[in-house]
Amino acid sequence: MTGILLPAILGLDVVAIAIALGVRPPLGRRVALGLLAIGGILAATLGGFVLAGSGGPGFVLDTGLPTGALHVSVDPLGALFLILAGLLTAAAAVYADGYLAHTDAGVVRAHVAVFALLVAAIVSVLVAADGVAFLFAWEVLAWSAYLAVILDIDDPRVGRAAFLMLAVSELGTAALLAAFVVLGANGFTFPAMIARGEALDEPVRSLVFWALVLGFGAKAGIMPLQLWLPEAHPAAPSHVSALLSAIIVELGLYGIVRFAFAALPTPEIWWGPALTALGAVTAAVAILWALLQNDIKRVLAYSTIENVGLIVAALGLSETFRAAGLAVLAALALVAALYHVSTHAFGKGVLFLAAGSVDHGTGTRDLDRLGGLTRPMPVTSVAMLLGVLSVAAIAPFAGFLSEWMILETFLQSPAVPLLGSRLVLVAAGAVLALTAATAVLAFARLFATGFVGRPRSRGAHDAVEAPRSMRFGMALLLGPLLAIGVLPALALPLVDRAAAGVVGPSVAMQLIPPLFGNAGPYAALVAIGGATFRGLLPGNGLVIIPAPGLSTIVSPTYLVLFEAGFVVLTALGVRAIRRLGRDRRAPAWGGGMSWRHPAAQYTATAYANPLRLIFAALFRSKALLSVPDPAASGGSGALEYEQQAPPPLERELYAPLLRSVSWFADKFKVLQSGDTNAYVGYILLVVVLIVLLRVL
Amino acid sequence: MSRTGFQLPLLPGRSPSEPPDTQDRTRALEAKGASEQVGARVRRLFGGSFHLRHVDAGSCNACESELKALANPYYDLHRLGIFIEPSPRHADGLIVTGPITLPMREPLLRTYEAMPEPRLVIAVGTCACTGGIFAGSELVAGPLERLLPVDVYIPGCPPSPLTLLHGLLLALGRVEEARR
Repeated sequence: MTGILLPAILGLDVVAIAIALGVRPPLGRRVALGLLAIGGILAATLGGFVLAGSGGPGFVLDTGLPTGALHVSVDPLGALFLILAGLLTAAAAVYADGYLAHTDAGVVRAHVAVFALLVAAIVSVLVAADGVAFLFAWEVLAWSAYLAVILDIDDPRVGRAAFLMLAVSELGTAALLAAFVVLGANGFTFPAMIARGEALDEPVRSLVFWALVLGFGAKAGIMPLQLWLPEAHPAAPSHVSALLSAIIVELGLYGIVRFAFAALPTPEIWWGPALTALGAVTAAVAILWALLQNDIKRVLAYSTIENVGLIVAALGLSETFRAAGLAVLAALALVAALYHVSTHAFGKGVLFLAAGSVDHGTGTRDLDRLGGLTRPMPVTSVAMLLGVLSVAAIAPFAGFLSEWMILETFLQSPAVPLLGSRLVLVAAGAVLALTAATAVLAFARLFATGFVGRPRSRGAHDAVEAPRSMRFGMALLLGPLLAIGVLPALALPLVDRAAAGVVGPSVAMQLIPPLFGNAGPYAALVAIGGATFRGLLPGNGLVIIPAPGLSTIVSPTYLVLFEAGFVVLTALGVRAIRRLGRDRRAPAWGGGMSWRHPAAQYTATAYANPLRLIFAALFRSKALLSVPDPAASGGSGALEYEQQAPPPLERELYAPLLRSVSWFADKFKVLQSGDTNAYVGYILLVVVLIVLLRVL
Repeated sequence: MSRTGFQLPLLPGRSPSEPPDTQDRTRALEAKGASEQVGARVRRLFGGSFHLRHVDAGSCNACESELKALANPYYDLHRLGIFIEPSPRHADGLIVTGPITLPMREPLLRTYEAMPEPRLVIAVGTCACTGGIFAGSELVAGPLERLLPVDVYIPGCPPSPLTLLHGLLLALGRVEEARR
């Protein structure tokens, strides 16, 4: 069964490329995207089969390359990502049909073909089972992502953003190549690479680890290589941004787990804390900058960097525990990290699709020009709200439990014997808690200023709901998002199976105590109702204990019941109170005014201002107010106000770097005089040098 | 000093030992009596806290001047538990001054709409009571009784603080009547 699925998926993608190129839109577009959606569902099915325990497919393709045959197989870790990638591709492909409906036919043909190639590349990266196949798929992924971002071919900014993404990606590939060459000295199959990694000696081992982190970090957006995310995400069409943010960025994390963790089984003690510190700084800086952005997609892109930082911090924690010999804690941290990857993928996918439909329906993504969208765009608004609640980690939505588990595993850091590591972990945990709180602020701002209130521009006033295919695409992701939020106890064993064996044993029994079966030491939980629904639902139980011992106990499933109960009780209470007295509904009191200018509403810029002032030393933001000369404009010129807060690394690292590079280029220009005699002189000089070297 | 805390004013050009003239004394006693009664009713009917929202519906501000005088230390409205409130949501009564010009019609009705029941409506000054010299103008929507059910009329152009106190006494009396 699984043996047929994999060729079928890749075959569908190839057919989709052919149809997209060969058949004119709208038919060609629709069929090609439909095939991609089916391929996505099949990929998720394949992942499900493998995680459910049936053996994954395995192929060996003898290509005659000097590096040996290409190996293809699906293991549990790849299967987890295959489920995420499959569902997200399906949703993005369905969504893209409506999104591309009004784009120029020739552009759409090429774009859909490239999109299909991108999808095929994502699947290939996940099923590649040797270093060469992986790197090949990785490069196809980088290039097809570059091409897929450029839908709007006329806008030079889009081209620049895509080029930046490609450049950072290639920088990462260079680092990967170096690491792979070292690891692949005895052949590029995964077992051979792992054996080689185990045998490496100290300075080389650390270099390989950090080259892998750098290489995959370029894709994941770990500082200092996060700079392409806030540029490429807004530039890309929304179905591509959703894939970028929810899958392609996560593939970087997949690479870190797959190679940096699995191939180097005995970490140095400093790797973990350093990785955690890197992740915590990434998360904290990104979420602060997310708060300042007015472009919805930029907010989401910075939030993606923040979530990647959070996951990397958890990965570092796992590595620290592993170095200290605490295998169970290491496995718990890895499960938390991978679970956060899953919840973030669904949440951010929904958010990017919803952001695209806002752009589609209003013509703008500027929060200060939006507002009042809940009535004209109900489906988009609900999708956005649910996505926001999940990514902002509000219980019982999906992101809550994963973020909770990460913070909970951080509270286990006293188990680490080394004082220095402990201090780093504790500080990182505190920074991450602050980050989580700031994320709530950033997402409250996104929804409150963008969707409720009254429209601030003509575009928002005349907003239209997205077409059916786009609404369906969003709904396709809302299903799993809500399901894993409400029933995490059914999703976590799958994540555990994917993580088991990488850094530690399976921890499913510990994470989800068997309250439905023989509760043993957890009998007290059963006594207070911890076994409700026994017999109705499969699995161990619905209660999750994210850390050893009974330090905290959480169950989103029962929480939903309680929350629903409170809502019902409140509604009944209000009805009862109403009946007691006379009831009259009066409009909100607005100081007696009957009309207010929508621009007088609280804006996104104003919402972020207190934080901008508190962190002024970090943001170094500048407010530019240009007052036109009354004489020149006839006394009717508009005031222009603009705020700038360039991100710290762009400001402190990349801008000086670029300046020095162009300074050097300027100096070397002297050599390129264009004078033929001078060039002949250079050649003579070189010949003399070579002769001298030969002689000496 | 007595419980009501009322003392004769020290007017300029007069030494404290000199007896004040009869008119002042009469007025002061009258004010004292009215204040005590108002205070007693506020305590009894509103637990010592009676809140009013004031809407200036096109007044010349003479009425406002007299209303403000109620808050000065001579009459000291707050001592009696009466407060002028910025939000209609917290108000027990609505004080309206002016002939209700057309632009103020809508805000006035909105204010009334925003008040919880039961609510008192007090027309202050000739303009609010009858339209005064603006009566019949096409630019006014008043007098107040054409728009809202008026409980108490306080005439005068402007009504003196003492008159206003009497009006409040009357308004509280209506509440007491309604409670029976």
